[in-house]
Amino acid sequence: MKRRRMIGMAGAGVGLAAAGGAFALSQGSGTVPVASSSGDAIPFYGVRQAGIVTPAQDRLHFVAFDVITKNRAELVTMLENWTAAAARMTAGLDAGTMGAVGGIPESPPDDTGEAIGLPASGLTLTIGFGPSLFTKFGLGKQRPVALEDLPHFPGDAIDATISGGDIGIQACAHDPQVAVHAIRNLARMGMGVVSVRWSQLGFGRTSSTSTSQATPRNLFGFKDGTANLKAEETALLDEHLWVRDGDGPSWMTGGSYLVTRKIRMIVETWDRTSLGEQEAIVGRTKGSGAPLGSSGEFDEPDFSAMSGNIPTIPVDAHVRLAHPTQNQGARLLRRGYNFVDGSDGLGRLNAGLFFIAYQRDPRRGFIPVQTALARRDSMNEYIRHISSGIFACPPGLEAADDFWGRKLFT
Amino acid sequence: MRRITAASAASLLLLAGCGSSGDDSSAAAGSDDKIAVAASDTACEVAKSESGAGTVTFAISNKGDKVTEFYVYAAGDRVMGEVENIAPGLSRDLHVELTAGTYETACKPGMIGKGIRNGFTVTGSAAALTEDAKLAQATTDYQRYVKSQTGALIDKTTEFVAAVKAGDAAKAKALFPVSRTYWERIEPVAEIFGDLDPAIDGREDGLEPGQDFTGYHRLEKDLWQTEDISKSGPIADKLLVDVQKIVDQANSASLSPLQLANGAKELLDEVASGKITGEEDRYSHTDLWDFAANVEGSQAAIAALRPALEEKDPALVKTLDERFAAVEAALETHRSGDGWKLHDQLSQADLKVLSDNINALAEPISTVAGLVAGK
Amino acid sequence: MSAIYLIGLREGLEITLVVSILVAFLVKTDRTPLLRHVWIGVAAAAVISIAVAALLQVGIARLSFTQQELFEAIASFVAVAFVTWMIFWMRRMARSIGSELRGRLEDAIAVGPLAIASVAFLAVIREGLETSILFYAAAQGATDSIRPLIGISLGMLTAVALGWLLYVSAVRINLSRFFAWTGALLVLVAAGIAKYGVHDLQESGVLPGLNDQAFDVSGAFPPETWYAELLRGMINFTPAPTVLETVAWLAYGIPVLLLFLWPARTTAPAPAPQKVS
Repeated sequence: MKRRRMIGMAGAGVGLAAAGGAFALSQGSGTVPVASSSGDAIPFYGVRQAGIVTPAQDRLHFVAFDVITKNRAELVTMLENWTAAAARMTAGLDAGTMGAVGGIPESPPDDTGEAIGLPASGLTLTIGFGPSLFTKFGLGKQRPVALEDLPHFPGDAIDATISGGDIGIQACAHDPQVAVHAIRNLARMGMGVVSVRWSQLGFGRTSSTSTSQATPRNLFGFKDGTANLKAEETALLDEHLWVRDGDGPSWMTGGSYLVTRKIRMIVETWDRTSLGEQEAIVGRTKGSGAPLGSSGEFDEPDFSAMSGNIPTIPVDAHVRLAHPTQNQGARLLRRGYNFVDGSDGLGRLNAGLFFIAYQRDPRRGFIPVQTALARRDSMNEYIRHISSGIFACPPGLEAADDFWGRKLFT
Repeated sequence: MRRITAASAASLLLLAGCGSSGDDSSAAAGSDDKIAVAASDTACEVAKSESGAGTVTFAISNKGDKVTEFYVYAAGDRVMGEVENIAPGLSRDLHVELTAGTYETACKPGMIGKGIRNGFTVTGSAAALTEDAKLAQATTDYQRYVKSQTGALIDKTTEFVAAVKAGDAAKAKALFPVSRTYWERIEPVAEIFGDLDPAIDGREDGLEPGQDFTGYHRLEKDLWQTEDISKSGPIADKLLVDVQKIVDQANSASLSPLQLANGAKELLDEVASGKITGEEDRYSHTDLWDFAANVEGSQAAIAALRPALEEKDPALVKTLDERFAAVEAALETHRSGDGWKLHDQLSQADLKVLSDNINALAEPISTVAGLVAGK
Repeated sequence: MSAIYLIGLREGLEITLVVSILVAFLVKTDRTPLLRHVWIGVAAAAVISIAVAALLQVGIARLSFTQQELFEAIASFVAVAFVTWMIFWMRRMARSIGSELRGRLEDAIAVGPLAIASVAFLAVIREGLETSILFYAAAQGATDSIRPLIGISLGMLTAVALGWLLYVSAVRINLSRFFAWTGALLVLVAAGIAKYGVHDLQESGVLPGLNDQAFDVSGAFPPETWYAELLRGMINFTPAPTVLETVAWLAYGIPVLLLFLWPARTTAPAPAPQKVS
């Protein structure tokens, strides 16, 4: 039962690309599968999970689940079913085999139906496992040392009810309806086994993950992610993004650690701030995105440059504090999204950045960078970190006899 | 033992081999009426997703790098046919007899796991399963249950109404959730009789302009909110008359197996949308009595259908048993004396556990109707 | 290529195991005239398998899934009975060898040639049909790619070579050891066939419980690896058997093995004088 006619790389193409080992990133060469138009499908199978170095799509629906079953076999069966549904939905098909309208009138459809007629829209589904999962089912021995709840950073205002989770799934697509459809169907299939702990919608990617993409802007109006890791920088990715053999338990080799932070932006006070001060806080010019004192967006910031007797890029500027040169070379692959969750009842928009970063080891990635930022970043006056999550994302599935989390559970 | 000779074994084989059925339309297997299946390590392209009833032939070719197998499943993963050991580069045929209904096909690269599934619909002369003896029995069994509940409903409602009219508020408050228990257990039956249901069980905000607020919830408001039952006599009398009407109708009505299956699901939907939120008994907060009764009613409907379900999908029955038990266990933690805690004594976390358990049960229950329909 | 090779090897292994033990036994007990019947049984089964596969191929006959499963199940149980008989027949022989009572030995061996032929026939016919169909499929695909055909042929040839090696080494060892080893091996084979028969009955829907797995070690034994295929070919070991299959295996294997290893009340057989070859 096809949701719609398949185009481009969907269907047989998916099989071909994956069977051919679509991209041998581990060899430090190869290309990233790019959908040629926003309706196309991104291959589900491959050496890596799609949705990490995939050029960031426009829309996000992130969900974190708690496992509520005590029965390990039930969880494994659900993961098998999830994987099959994910393979179908990312190819632009219905979640179930009968589809939204193909079943019998007496039964509820096995697909919720809101994506009828919509193309695959570049949907990717990326799964990760949170530290709390490893306290269950005797998985303790399998927990990577790198997978620990993030420490409390100065100024954190974390709400536990929208943080953490046993399993995280990032759905990204060019169409919000397609991303929501995917999460909704997975949640439905998980009834009785997992329960939605929290979920987050995002729009307007705030990072570019490929050199083919222009740098987008966050809700502060600044270009974000100029110095991001890019899919084409394979040597850097091997160093900073992908977990290597020997880094931890073997099931994570080839995977990556995902950190999520929901960062509320007090946009009303930011908008009253002078342009000069905004640029000093960020450390870049608002128009071109060039570092202060430079002229091009991609120029390396010159942290030694002085304007009179003060540094051109202030000592508490966001760019300076987050820069690899200030953090023992720590690099992240950021993949965040803007959010506006209505308003806060105080006449203000409830807006901000849903920050997502992938890295080889959070202890050498996000944690030191955020420690520096939380202490000294002049931007802290305008932001609040209100939720936090960390997930271990396994490597990709190379064929249909594999399923999400198989190496972990068998 | 020794009598089984080479010759008789051979004839056994030939009998099986030549046992092509008498339908000549499909006996001549031309390559054009085969359904091509292109299998690889990551895909399973079935050329057609439907076919007529009778012998269906799949021609599976393995284009992948792993050995694969191909299955046709009916509900509950009952194997209708399979062909294994399709090595890379090989093609194999599978002939399988299928009656009208919905099936799933699966390619299993590596010959493990659930495989890559696709839906498959077979149309044609559907076997008339409505005359299934086990389903007919289900109707009779459930009828017996309804009778037992309606008897108690009349008794307890009479006591409740008497207490209201006697002005004994404390006794009426104690009897209110108890009498409702029998009502909530058979609510799917009650809902068949349209206009009586709102008169007995309508909530104030659900009324249309010009409709009077009567029934259980009106008395509930008088008891708990206005705390004045001096004028409630007529309302109480009307409730008893309406309940008596429903009971007479319910005892003469006969629910079809399909209505039973849908009733089991609707009872749980009632819980999910009304009882979990505390909307139902907003003045008395006795929602957990209704909650428990809805679940018991759902369980009774499933119990009546059980023999038929055991035959059609034993795995589903096992799942339902487990999940009914989980709901009961979650509910049991909120027991208080021989009744339940009040809704406003439950925390948000308590309610989430109950909600998760109801959802876990309602999803598989929603598939029962399709099985009962026999497709 | 390697996948189809392993399938050919697996399908051929069980046949060659039984047949080569049977042949070795007859040779060691100087019953070479009976060898003819072994080959008659093998040939009859092979011819029938190939003929039926050919009929199926040209579409004259149709074998539905259930019929094929039922046939294999019935053939399996009959094969179990015959192989079990063969085990104890050989054991009885082994007991009589040292007793110097030629008469008793003659009695023990004096079974109809038909029984010998039937053992061989059943060993082949069980897998023969499936193998022939596979072979046809490979031959048909040979127009696109000759590799599957080469693969399956090489697999079967390997199985035959292994059978021949088993035969050669079996002929060399002393008789009582030969009986102990081959007997125990045959018990495993027969238990495997019983398990396979139960699985077929479950797949054809005659017996329930196809989805109740006893255990699942497919993580450690991916079905396409050579060692998993070898284990499956020899003793029908599968990485995720159903509960019922496992029960069948144990219910047959344990008592029969105990019976087989049970010391006889007669004195232990003395080693037979070695022939100097």
